[in-house]
Amino acid sequence: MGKRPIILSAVIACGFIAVVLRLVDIMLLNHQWFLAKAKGQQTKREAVPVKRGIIMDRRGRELAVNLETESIYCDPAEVVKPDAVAAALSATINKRPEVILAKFDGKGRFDWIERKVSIEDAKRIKELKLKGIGFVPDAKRFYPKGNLASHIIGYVDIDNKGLEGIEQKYEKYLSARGEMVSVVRDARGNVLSEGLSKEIRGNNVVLTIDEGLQYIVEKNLDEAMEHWRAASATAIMMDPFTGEILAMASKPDFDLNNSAGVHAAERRNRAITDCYEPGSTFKIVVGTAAIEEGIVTPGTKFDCSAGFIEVGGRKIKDAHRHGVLTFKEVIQKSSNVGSIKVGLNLGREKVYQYIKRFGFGERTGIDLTGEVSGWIRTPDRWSGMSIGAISIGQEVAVTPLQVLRAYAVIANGGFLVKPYVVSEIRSHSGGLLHKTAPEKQRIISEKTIATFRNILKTVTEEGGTATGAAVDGNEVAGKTGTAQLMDPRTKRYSKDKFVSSFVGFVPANDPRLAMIVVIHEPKGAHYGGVVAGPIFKKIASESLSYLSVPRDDSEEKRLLLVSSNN
Amino acid sequence: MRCRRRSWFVGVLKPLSIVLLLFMIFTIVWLRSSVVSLEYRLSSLEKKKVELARDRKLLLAERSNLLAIGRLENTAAGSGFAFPDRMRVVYVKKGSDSDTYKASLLAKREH
Repeated sequence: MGKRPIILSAVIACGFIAVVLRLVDIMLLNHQWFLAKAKGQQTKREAVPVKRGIIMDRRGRELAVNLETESIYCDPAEVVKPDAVAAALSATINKRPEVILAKFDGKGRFDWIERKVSIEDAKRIKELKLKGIGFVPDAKRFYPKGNLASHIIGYVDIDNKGLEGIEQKYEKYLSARGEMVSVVRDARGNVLSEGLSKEIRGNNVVLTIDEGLQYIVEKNLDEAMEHWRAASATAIMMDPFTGEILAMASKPDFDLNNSAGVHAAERRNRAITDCYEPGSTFKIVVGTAAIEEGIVTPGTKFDCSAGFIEVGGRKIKDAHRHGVLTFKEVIQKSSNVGSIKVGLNLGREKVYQYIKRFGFGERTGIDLTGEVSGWIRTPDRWSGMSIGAISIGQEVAVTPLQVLRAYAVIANGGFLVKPYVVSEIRSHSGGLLHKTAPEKQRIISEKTIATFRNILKTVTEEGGTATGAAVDGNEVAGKTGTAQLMDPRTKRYSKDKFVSSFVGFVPANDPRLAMIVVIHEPKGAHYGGVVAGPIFKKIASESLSYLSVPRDDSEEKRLLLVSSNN
Repeated sequence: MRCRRRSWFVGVLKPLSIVLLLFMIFTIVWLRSSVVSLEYRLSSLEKKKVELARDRKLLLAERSNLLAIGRLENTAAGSGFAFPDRMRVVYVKKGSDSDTYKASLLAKREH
């Protein structure tokens, strides 16, 4: 054998020995370390996309959904030619280059450049293949109906956390906890699928709100705001038997898709956060109390001919001078003098007892954030004139929802209901997780309710204060309210600032909806029957059409001639 | 005789074993590479699925926006439609039979 083959064999043998030794090192001696290193290179931890649940109206129409977007971040240490990168990004995401450039000066390895960029814009930037710029999938909340029901639905922050309304109140149901999964990837970073794509979704919330009714209410409130040049307006529509809120609107409102920078006053759900003196709509308390306690009947007469009454040293007048009025007429014509006389007959303890029975001075418990309890003093802190003032809806502060709930008692036969806006919570696959059960409690006898309902019907009839609230085809039962606002400068009732309201239900004998309309500081007129009554009429009329409620007299007058063809 | 037959059998078995071994090795490698390439295909299909789901969500949101009742009313008003006068709307109770009915708003005459 020659020298060369021996050397060659030796080299090959050494080579093999080296390979074997290395293999022993990798596979036996340091196996665990190499295994961990390989796993680290081949697998990647990825966050599973999390989507909030959607919010729907009672008919399943989407009010809040998710859109897929991408958020752009930078790793300042990796960015090459920062000026050029900033200029390129600026052209697409509409952000000044200086602002982007400032982010590249950071010492950290991560900073957001822009959150929730549309997929198209992100694609355009990706095509530029900028070093040091990365993308993360991000969901954006989108409200397809814009301003509609803005105060009920609420909105979320940049991290999709609920800040107001249902978005906040039902945060724990709508949101879901994210998790990380390991995915296998190759040397180029391409992910190798294992055939399992995951997405975590929150639960869906179904509201009692009806988009159609909400639209009718908001459209008419907008018109009213413009017509009366009012400071604000509120309307609530409720199913009086269950407490389901069918529509709830406050003006001014805001666009849910552009909630940043909106003034706090526009964000306020005035239906539950703002108190006001209810004025004559509060006469329901002394009215029902007097009938329930057997103090009056509809025919009981009250002398209101003086046009005023003195209580605790204060003279309280009627808007118009009346003669002798029956109890029914006292309510129908909204006589302050007559109502105060009823209140005096009842006494302060009874009046207070019935105020509490109707739920005033306490939160209704509606499932929305920010509800206030209103304000009513205990009888021991009443002044001499309080019994008179409270009987006609002064010296008390209530929310529109509290007043509506009180009238729902008359509509439903004597039960105090708990209002609510969420009827169901469903899992994203449709399984029922929660269904709200109506809560009610009898507070007034059926007999008293029947009597008082007939009295409230006369308010919209000839001689009543709200003929303008009468709906063609269906009887309306309700009550007007006109309250003076307190002038903060003089600390007295203002002579030109009023709150006009109308609250009632329709059809009066078989109510389908109870509704309140409150207009703050209307210009040109101020009586509830003139300002709020016609708005009630318009909303009720359109809503009854929408709900396909036939007119009361269709069968009685036999207007509908139906005959079979055969 | 037996010895010759055995040597012939061993002579055939050896290359056959080597071929079989090589075949098995290549089969395993081929299977593994097929799985990896399938994973790549699956991954790209998943990407497509995610994109399509994203488009679907976008279209649903757009549909929801377009079907907003306010928008529909404005469109209808532009086409000359008006909200019906409820005093002239006739509600016919749904019967069990499939007969057709004539309906009128005129008062029914007593015979």
